[in-house]
Amino acid sequence: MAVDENRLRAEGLYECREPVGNLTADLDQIQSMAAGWHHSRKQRGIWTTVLWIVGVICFMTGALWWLGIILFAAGGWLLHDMKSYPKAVANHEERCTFGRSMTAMLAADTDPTEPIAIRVAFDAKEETISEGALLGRNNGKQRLYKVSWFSVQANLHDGTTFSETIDDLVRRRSFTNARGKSKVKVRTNNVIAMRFDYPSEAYGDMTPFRPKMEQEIQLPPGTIVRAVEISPKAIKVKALATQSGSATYLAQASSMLALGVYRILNLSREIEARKRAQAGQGGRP
Amino acid sequence: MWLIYALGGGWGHLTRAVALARAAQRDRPVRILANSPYIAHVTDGVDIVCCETRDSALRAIHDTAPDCLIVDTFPRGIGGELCALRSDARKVLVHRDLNPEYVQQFDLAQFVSSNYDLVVVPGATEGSQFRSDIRTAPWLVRSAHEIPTDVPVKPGTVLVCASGRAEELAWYGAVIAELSRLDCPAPVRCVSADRPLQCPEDLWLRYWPAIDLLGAASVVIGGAGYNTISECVSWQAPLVARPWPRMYDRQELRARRAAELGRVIVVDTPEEAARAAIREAGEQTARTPNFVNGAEEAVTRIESLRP
Amino acid sequence: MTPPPPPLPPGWKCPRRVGFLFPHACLRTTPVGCPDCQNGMIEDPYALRTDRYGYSRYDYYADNYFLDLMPYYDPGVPAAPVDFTEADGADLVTPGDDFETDMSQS
Repeated sequence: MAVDENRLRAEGLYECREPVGNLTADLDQIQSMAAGWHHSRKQRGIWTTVLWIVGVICFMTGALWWLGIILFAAGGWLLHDMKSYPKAVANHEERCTFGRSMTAMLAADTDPTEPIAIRVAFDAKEETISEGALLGRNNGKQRLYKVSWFSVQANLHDGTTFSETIDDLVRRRSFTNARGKSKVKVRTNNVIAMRFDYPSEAYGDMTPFRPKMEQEIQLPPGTIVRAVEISPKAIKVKALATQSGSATYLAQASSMLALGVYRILNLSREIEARKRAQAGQGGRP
Repeated sequence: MWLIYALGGGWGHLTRAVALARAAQRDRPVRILANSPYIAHVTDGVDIVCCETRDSALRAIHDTAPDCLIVDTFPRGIGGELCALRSDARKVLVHRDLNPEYVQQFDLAQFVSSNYDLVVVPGATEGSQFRSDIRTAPWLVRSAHEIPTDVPVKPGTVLVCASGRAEELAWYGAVIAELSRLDCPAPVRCVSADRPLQCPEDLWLRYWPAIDLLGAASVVIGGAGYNTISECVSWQAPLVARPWPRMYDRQELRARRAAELGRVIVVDTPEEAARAAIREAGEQTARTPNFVNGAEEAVTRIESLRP
Repeated sequence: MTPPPPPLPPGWKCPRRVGFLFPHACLRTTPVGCPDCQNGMIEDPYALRTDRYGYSRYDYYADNYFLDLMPYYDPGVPAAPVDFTEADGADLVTPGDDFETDMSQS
């Protein structure tokens, strides 16, 4: 299915429910578009700057003031034209890379004809979690907000429904330093949340496995497990990645988190199989 | 000089350390080392030094050269840095409950036995993984006689205490929204360092310490950290507790133990919390503070430790 | 000159284990061009994957894993035929090492 370019331009959103092969092709296409838009924006930005500088010089010469007006207008037109290349998409090309990594991970364990739902937001809304004064700083303000930019949901071969979301958790602090200068400090962490609605007929009740699962999950440096919650029907895990900005790193963290959960799911399945074997052979209860 | 090592996120370690420091600093200088993001909110005239790294914590201990080092919760330090510590100070461990996987993986029982002169447990249901030399009542950042009579919360209020992590604020905001949707008959206030987004400005209050306000609350909605549970049980204020997952603290276990001792209801979703709070909200008159602050006894026991 | 491989029986589906998170049957109708078994050269593509980051022995569990979670486990009882893992006396996967790495935990 072709990418809905109008929606991508207007809302900065790619949302689709297709087999994994189609999603990969779409994300490739979007990444290519984003790279092109980024290049176009950069070119226009450079030319606008050059035209305006030359325009100012023309004004200052006096005789060429008319040329200065033309150059200013041309620069202004280029600046206006930049808007046709959405900034949000151009600046978040790495989200396509991440999306492709996740679809590649899921491809190994899903039916190639089964649709996967994916949502990549390049211009996601900032949801403020809190804001207020920043104590201990002049004119100090702190705002904590969340940007939800990725979600995926897939039915796996074993009957599990897998879903993942990625949120940027951003802390923005502004204050006036001792020299009177305004400063802004932004720190971003990524919250990776996964949910596995597993079939209990295959895996049994996973609740007793929680300590083992917490122990088994391995993550790259800078990412920590924040929560592991297990019920008889679902496993929910959450991790916090503090090395924001790299799609490869985030994809690795996501894969490792899912692998840690499945290492114990697979163990449980093996245990269920052995219990059935023992029961079948008249073994001990 | 007593030095209290209270590194760890959130409010818990800091508040417990402040409780001990206030009781101890009448007779000697006391300093707290902490890395809580809420240090600036503590207005009690307590000496608190912010240490964000292992090295800075070790340096601070070395530079302070205390005669007594009191370590809150993490026998090896939260980053393992106290293993490298060389100090002649008397060492006291404040034994809050710890993740048993961590205790086992690092053989903490042996470490505590070899390195600590005294283990103090701040409450009946805390700390069961190492030897307990002394078990006191819970440590509270205010003693009963220090509770002010005039507080900015009306008697009978449903009080939402949003402590814990910033990213958990949204849950508390959702509770307030749900209370509004259910037309909660009692006044609602939220006390927190930062205002949850869904909390209207006029319902939000930044006030420390929240223990001052619990006497006026008909019911409290909060987490299941050490201080929230201890303060509500001490006040006998009904608590609707939402245990949060933590790496070292077993909040779920604490909440369930407290539910056996007092009026604590364990919940998960904001909807459950709001419904439980409305059911529990009843008392319209303020309670009289009548609790024992275990921090006072802890000071007496620690100072009797021979060098 | 090596003789050509025998033709596959009608309705043949590949029984090899594939997958990234968990093993499942491949079910391809021919190994030719298969990136997992590389034209039938690899017998157990699932176990031999090398792209699982730090999970170097993803498919193995030592006996104590079962003893902890299966009180009456008798290692002498073979499992019923299943398309999943079979434990042996392999080393433990590196245990979780997140403790004492984050100063902001509690």
